[in-house]
Amino acid sequence: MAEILILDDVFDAVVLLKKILSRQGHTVHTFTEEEDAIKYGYKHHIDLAILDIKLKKMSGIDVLAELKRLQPEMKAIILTGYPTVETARDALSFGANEYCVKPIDKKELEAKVEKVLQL
Amino acid sequence: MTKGKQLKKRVLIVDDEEDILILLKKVISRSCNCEVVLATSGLQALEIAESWQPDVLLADIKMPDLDGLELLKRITSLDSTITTIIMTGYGTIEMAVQALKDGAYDFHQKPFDNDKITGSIRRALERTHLLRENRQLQQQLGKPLFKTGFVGQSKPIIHTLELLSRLATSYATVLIRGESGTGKEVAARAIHSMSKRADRKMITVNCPALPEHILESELFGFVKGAFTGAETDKDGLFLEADGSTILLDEIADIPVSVQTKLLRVLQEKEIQPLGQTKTIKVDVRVLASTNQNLEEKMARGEFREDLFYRLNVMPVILPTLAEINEDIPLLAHHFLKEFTLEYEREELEFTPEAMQFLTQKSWKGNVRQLRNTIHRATLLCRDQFITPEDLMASTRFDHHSQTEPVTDCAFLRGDYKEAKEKTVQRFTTAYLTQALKKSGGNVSSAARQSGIDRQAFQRLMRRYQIISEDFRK
Repeated sequence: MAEILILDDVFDAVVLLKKILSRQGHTVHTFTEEEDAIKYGYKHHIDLAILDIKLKKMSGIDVLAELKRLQPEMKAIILTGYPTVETARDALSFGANEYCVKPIDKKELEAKVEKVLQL
Repeated sequence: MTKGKQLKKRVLIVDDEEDILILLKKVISRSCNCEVVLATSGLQALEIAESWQPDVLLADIKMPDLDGLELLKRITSLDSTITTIIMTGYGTIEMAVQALKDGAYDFHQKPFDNDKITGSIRRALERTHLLRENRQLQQQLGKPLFKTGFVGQSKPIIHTLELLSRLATSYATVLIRGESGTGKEVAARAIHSMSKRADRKMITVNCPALPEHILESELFGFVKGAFTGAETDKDGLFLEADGSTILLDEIADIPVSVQTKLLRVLQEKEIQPLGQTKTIKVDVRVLASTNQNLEEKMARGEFREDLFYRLNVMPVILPTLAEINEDIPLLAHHFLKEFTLEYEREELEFTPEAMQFLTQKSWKGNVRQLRNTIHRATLLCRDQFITPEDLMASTRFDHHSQTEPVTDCAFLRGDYKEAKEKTVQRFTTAYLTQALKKSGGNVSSAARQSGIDRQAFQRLMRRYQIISEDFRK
């Protein structure tokens, strides 16, 4: 099962995502602060990062770029409540495997995670 | 690159609505300075693309015969350097994501802002240009063009190569001049390898590396008992180079006493080992190199005028990297290939932005600095693509690890305080770099090994802008 990092500035969102993915058997590490997530990435292996775009200080795409720099093999899913073509283009060019729009239902999330992990 | 007449860039636009096509053609051909051809269906666009080879394709998604996303796939398999931009009137984010995943460069929703679409087209044209240039350079590298060790097609390089090959056939003494890192030793090797002496080994003497007395005995040899410690006869390097070529690297730094003896070799073609009365005839081609101003040294009495004129029979002045700026892409690919082979990372490539960074940066250390930067980037880059960030991270080392040793003469001139400061800076950065390299970027361990307090070590790192992350594996 995979090591998954989740970063969203809304605590409830992180908890909910963790609940869903833990049930699938994954080990989930949650963060609400971007710096903490990046620091985690410096020391620990991550199979998949699920990142929100609108964070407290940085953009989720910047966090994605930094994590990808540290761990090029890492897979990533961008989750956003404010989808735009520009952020979709940036996310994919920085190596995101999926760009999903919130709210996302449980089944869809599970399917996307499985699909990305199998890439 | 091939100069000649620059062809106009080509943009192919495909949409089933003719009004939109006409409008787009007007806007794009006016503000992007390019040729525009229109197609009203996907299949027609594909046909035109095969014969006309556009740089950029701007395609609508909804078309009757072949939709934009399918067209994108077919175009990419036809020529992956064509950059495709997708536009649609019924866009959803899912559709945009799918198009981008399939390799579209950009995605626009109708009705669109003219500035946005022309900006996007311009960037796409630039992307295609860089991709094609990259591909062309890769192909050129495949050919065995570079026997001389010089890589480049700019005028100064071609001129230098012609000069070197002409000099190779003569026996004249050659003085190779040029800034640090321009390839003086490479030029010497080129002359030797193109000459009739190529089957013999060229002898290289780094003059400033040897102290005065040792330099003399190394060059000319000695006989048993010539001085204390001379227990057996020893042939000098000139005798070793008999029938071949000798390169006197950094000739400006040899002491005047040795200069006199050198002059004798050049004039009489004979050497006299230390402690021996007889002279020995030698047949040695002398090449000398320097990055210093010999005329100034002569004026100060530090370099013999007659030796200068003997050496300066055939001067070669190597161009700086700034003078051969147009060769940077070719050089960069050449070095990348060299290091990716060495480190078994053949998959590594430059991003177009990285190439742009390389061509725009000023290279005080010339080709050597460029080579070192690419060497480090090859080691630092963890991804398949070398980005400007990787290159910046590796140029950051440049003021730390200069190529010259701490005792480099050029460095020990000028104001005492300033020179001392620079020396200390160079020493400290070299020391810290070494310590951090050993500890794999672990500051505490590096400080412990160096016998310094961790805080003090970190203070020094901050002062000299050394980042521990650069050393982590």
